[in-house]
Amino acid sequence: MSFDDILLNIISRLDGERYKHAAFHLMKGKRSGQTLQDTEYYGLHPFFGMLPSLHAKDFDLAYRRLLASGLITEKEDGTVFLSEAGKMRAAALEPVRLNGWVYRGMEQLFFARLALTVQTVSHLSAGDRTFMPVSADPSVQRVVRNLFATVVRGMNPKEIAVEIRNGLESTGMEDARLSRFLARLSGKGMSGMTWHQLSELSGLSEMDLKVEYVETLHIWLDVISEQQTPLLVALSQGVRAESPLTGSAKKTDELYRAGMGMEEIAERRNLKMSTIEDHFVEIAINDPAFPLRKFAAQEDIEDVRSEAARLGTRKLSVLKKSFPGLSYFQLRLILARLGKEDGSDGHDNPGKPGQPAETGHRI
Amino acid sequence: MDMTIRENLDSLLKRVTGFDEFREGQEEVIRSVIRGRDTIAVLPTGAGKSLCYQLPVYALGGTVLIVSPLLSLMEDQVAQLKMKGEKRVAALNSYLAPKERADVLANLGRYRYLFTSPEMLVQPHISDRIKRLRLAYIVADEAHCISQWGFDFRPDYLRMREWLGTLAERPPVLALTATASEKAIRDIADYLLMEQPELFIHPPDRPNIAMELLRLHGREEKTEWILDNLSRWKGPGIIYVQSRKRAEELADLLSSRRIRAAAFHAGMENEDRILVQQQFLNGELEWICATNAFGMGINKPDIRWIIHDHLPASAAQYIQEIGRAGRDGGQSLATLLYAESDADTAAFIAVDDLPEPETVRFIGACVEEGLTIEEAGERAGLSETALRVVRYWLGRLGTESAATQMERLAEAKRKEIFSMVRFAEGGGCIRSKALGLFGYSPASRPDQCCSECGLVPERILTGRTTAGNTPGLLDWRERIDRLFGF
Repeated sequence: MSFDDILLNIISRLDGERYKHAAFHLMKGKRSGQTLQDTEYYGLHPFFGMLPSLHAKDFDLAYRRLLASGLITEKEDGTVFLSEAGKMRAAALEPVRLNGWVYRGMEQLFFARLALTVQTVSHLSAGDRTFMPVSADPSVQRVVRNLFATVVRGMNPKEIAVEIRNGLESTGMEDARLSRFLARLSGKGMSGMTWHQLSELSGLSEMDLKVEYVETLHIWLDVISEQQTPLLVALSQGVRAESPLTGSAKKTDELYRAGMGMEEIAERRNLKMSTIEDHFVEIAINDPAFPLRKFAAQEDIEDVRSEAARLGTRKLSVLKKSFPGLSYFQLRLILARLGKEDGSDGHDNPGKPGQPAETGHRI
Repeated sequence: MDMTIRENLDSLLKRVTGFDEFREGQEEVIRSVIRGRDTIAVLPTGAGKSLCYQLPVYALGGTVLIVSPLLSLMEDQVAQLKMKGEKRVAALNSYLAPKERADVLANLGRYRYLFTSPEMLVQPHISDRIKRLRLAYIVADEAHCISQWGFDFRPDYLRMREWLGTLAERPPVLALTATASEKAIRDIADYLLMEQPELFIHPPDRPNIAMELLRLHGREEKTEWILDNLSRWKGPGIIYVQSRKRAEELADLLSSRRIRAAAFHAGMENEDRILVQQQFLNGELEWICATNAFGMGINKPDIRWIIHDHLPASAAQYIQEIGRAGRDGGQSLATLLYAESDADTAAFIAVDDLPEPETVRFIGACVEEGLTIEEAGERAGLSETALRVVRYWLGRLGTESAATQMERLAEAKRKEIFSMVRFAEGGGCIRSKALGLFGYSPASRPDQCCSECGLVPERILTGRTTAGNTPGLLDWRERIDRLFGF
């Protein structure tokens, strides 16, 4: 799927309730309360953190292309929604096979390890012990060095090649795609291609190539986790996120579980109260046992729920008008738990082109 | 006495490296370090500078501390020592994981060679540990960086002065570089706190690099010249350009003429930069169109041609960049394409990142009002580099003198560019003029000296016979087979 189609897909799920930045932060995997909430409400897990180093410039170009081709429009307040043509196109899109929520950019680490392993085996079997490593990242070098003392030690180059080949074979991805993917690998006398070179050769844009590459990695990694072949499993060690919480939110969660209050945590961690609030929203999204009723009265919770359903919105600014007595923080927490308690469904927008997140995208 | 040292040195050389004889310039430097003298050695590229710091420690014992400007350079030197079988070597830098760093720090005394950066060195918890070592001597590798970067880019180079001052017993300091003007040598001696250093200075003259200077009218004419000449003659070579955009433009133009070229600049992904370097080293690419981000630490011996598409900001930078040609000793060429408008562009870019005096005063005032320097920097919209520089000078000089210092630095940069303009516009032997920028004159005139003395391209470059073939996209199964050598 091209970068433009990915963007259209995301906007179709946001359904006229968000600005363009929401899609940008989502693709970059921004760990803010707002982006995490969006991911949850609108079922955007496949796209979360798919391109951590996305440049605003590239994003804007794609966004403007969608505007210019009439697939999307902006309302006066800046919210973006699909035109009829956009809806048709979005409905006809192939299903995305990205799995951003689970890999969060860590798939790059898997590829870096794979590339360094292949490069090393390639040079060693040609009797060359001096080469410039394709990854300058010391943590990648460390992992690969360990692999050569363990898993790789017992394998000959043939076995390694066969494991990689069979692994890719079994993903069922088309040959042209795999050829573009493997063009990034280097070996003795044969360097990988830069994005620019690959773009010249394949006729695809650099952005489209990067999107395809990330998707290819997600597809392959999903297969690897089922197949458990020794080298590929070792290379993908630690690539799947273990906890849905970001590092800092996790720390806040631990302190909260240890019995500290929000202000105490803020003081102890020397963080702003708004940051701690973001953490609590993140915890509320992810923790099924989150004690929402400690933060809001039961009847307020129910009123907000029915109002959100009645208006068909999750926009804070709209709901705040109906509930001036509740703080933004309370509203965000209630929204975070929407559809997770009392069996009510948070995704009650029938006819939306974007499907809600598949369970496979959950950790 | 001298005789014994001589015998010892020769057998040491043999034992450590397997060589029977020193290369020109090495022995005096090594002797001076062993005698305990502060030493400045300016040796041309390819003269074997690393041996100068690697050998004396065998006679003295203890640990050598090598301060190096680039992580990649450090890693490269560590790898080369390890390849020679040296196990007692480590690099203390930001690449290390916390646990690894703790390991290195806990075992500092075990190392024979310890590499680090100025930034790391001046951190208190690191420097305290290093101070307790028995240091044989301290080495500043690529020491011209002190003068070239210390004042307006990496002030921690200047902080080394204070650090050296805190050592109870300062070991001798050895400064190594390929290019140093008189001012650079004064800066090196001053900021490395040297006492009457021994100077071993070899002019940066590389007789195997012919020098060519062409005056053209503007960018389009340069482009035309490059495309025309690169279609006739072969590299491998580097085209140094002013901007990222220009690097990409030229690389694309060359590629479209089936000359294998790629851009290299700091705006590219790290992975892509590594791939480009690798392709160049492998001979898969013939030309690199690069900003000054490319070069230091690149060890490709057979580079035949360096072209400058713009006017370098200083003589030192120019000599460093052309010095990447012909490390194998083979005949090579350095071409400078000069247009009159280049001077203004170079001057503008050189002082672009330097904070204005007013900015320094503004930051000084903010700090006085109780803001942190980071907050003040944010208000003034300063880049990280600029803030680092302001922080250093404010701390040393106070607001008013720091503001004046910015003016002085800008003036110094403009002066360097002006001397490059004179170099590009004046007449006479180019080699003599280039060496003259450092206060030397050539020892002799090589056959292929420069475009003023007369050049015969056929004697320098190899003609291009056939256009290169761009390889297509391999089928992935075949690529796996080839990668694994099947």
